Amino acid sequence: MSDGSICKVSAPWYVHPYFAALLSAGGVILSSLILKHAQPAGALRVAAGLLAVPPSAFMVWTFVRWIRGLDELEHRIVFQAVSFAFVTAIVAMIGMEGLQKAGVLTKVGWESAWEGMVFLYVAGYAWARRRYR
Amino acid sequence: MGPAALPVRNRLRVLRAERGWSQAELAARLGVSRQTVNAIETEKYDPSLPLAFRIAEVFTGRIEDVFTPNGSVG
Repeated sequence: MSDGSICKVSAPWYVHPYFAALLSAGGVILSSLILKHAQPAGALRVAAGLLAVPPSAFMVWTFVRWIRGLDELEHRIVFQAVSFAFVTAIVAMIGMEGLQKAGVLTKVGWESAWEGMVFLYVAGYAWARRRYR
Repeated sequence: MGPAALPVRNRLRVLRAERGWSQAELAARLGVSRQTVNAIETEKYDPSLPLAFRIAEVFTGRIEDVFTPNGSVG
């Protein structure tokens, strides 16, 4: 049954999209710090570079698990938010690529694309929820 | 392009009020969120066929007593 909370399926507190997102962000920050300050070499460098992948995969799993617990209107809202984030990110990237070719933007960091998509997802979710209020 | 779908009207708010149920109570009976019940009542969202049948079952058992195509004489 749906009770309006974000995670409808009973699970330990750490099996939650919010916690998993924090864990993923923590992995990204830790990976950057290690690569920048400790500067490991060889296999350790590869391991440090991929440090954020396991928590990010965990985040995807918790997100899918959360979606399975939603009702049909909530499914629609999440689908609209994800669609909005996806297509808007494409348009933004095309625009940024054009500006880079035009010499207006000197460096476009693709590594920040996921942050933009998360922001667009949150905006899309708020917009879609408002539509059905 | 295919024919346009008929907008669907419903008597959910009336039927709920007759039984003295809150939106949250009805949502609990249906296994959906309160927002979903509200969106159906305000006709911002048309439920799926399985949910429409479940709504009918909770109230009367007949889907046409709850949902009618817009413009239908009933």
